[in-house]
Amino acid sequence: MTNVHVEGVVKRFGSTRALDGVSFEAGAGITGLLGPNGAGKTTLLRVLATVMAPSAGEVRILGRNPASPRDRLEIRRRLGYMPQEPGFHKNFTVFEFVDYVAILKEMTDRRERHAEVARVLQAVGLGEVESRKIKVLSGGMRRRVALAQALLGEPELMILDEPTAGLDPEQRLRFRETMSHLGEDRSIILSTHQTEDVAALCPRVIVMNHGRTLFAGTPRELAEVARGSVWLSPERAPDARLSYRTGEGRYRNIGAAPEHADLVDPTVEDGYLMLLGEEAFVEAA
Amino acid sequence: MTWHVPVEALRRYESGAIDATQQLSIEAHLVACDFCRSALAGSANRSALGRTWQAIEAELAAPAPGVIERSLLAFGVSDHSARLVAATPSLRRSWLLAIAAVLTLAVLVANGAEGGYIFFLAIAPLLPLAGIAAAFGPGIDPTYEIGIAAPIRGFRLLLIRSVAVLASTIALAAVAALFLPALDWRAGAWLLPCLAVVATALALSTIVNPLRATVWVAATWLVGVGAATWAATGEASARAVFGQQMQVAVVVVAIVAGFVLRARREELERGEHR
Repeated sequence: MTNVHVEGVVKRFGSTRALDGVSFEAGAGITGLLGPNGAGKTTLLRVLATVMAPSAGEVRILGRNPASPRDRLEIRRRLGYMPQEPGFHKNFTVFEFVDYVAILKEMTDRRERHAEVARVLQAVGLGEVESRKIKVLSGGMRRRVALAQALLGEPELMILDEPTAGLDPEQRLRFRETMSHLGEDRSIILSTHQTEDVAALCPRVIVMNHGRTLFAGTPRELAEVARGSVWLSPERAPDARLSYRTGEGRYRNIGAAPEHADLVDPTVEDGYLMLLGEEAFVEAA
Repeated sequence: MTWHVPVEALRRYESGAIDATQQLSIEAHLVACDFCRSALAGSANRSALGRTWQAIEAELAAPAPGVIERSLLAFGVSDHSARLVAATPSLRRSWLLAIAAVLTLAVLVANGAEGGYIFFLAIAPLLPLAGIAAAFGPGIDPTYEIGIAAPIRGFRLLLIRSVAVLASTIALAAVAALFLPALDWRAGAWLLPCLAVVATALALSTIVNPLRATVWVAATWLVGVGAATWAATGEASARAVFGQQMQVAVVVVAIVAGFVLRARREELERGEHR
């Protein structure tokens, strides 16, 4: 079932086109959104979260049209959204803050609401710190608070903008575990800079740049974009688009074959870099 | 004990599919009968029990509400509305202290300078307006973005917070008015203009960004008062500027703004859809 349908979506800010004809569909499971800074990921996610309307194009979320007030309300009732920079009422405790968002989500019965708040805090591993003030939490913990509020009410669609930013490796693994459970029975669209997140979590990946979709497919298909272009060699390859020394002392080169090189299997990261072209290599270098 | 609750009845009791009379009867029996209590405990639905414990733990973990929330609860406000008010940025202590400082200054001016009364009457209505501007909107409410994507009606949130800010700021201004040089009708002449500027700004917020709406209304108010004061030079200016004519005019403005706000309230649900 298609839960998100986006076709030819354009979003203009003055003369800038943050989205320039984006089209894709997403069904159940986790869809990863990859792209460099300024690619339009956050703008797209804000459109999907009903925060802003597109300048042109068609958007349907959970079978409804967010431009209609009634449909928009229905979408919001079934949506969990974690913005890229979620703000907090820092004087609230963790429990109070999530409880506050639960009120914004129309949970008026106090007991049911408190039980739900306790459940989501437990789900993101914050049960132990629920009585701490948000202002004393680390950045990683705050992101987990932001994730917890997006889980309230078991939404059918979750929109998560860079949920793994600022998480340490252990937190990132925990996050993947939580997401893989959640992704079994709902749609999750998350943006990330981490190709490892996409490879580990997402059955489907979309690559964006300059407000356009460059690729939509599986992580394996994305990796295949770089098939035949990734080499391991004893020396740095002068003609390679990107060449770096690995932990084992050999050079991993992307591009034309250097001398005495072994062709290796590409990763999602290799495919992503190939897809973005010269621009990505300038940025990576 | 000569009888025990039939297993079927215990099951219905456990699942809640039982009428109140039977429930009371079974509970009275359970208090006295070890056998039935054990039977109930043995067959109890683990997930239902787990949910009950989770609910109890959640209630124990829920923090005691703060001062603002407790005060509102005492007045019979629902706990969720009280939390919405408590999250209003312009009800923080630092904000209220700033308002008190401005009012103190305005009272000092009113007591010290010729025509200072006008200064107080011009400033007092703008304080709740500033408070309401700082109560919601992008860049001000830290949870604005999460709030927009949530199903709560923006109109309801706006009204709850506006009433809370109005009440607290009007209370402070009323206390300040007690220290004005003369306690005549002028000490309350800011109240109706206050309601009018707030209602106008809220109505305008359905058309433009709330911050812009506030700035426009405040600027229009100050220019209007300034012009009226300039025109009234030579007379007892506070009476000329804030007299009956102006009070009637601001009531008309407030009523019109109220109708506009009501008619266009759906615009507040759009987020950045406009």
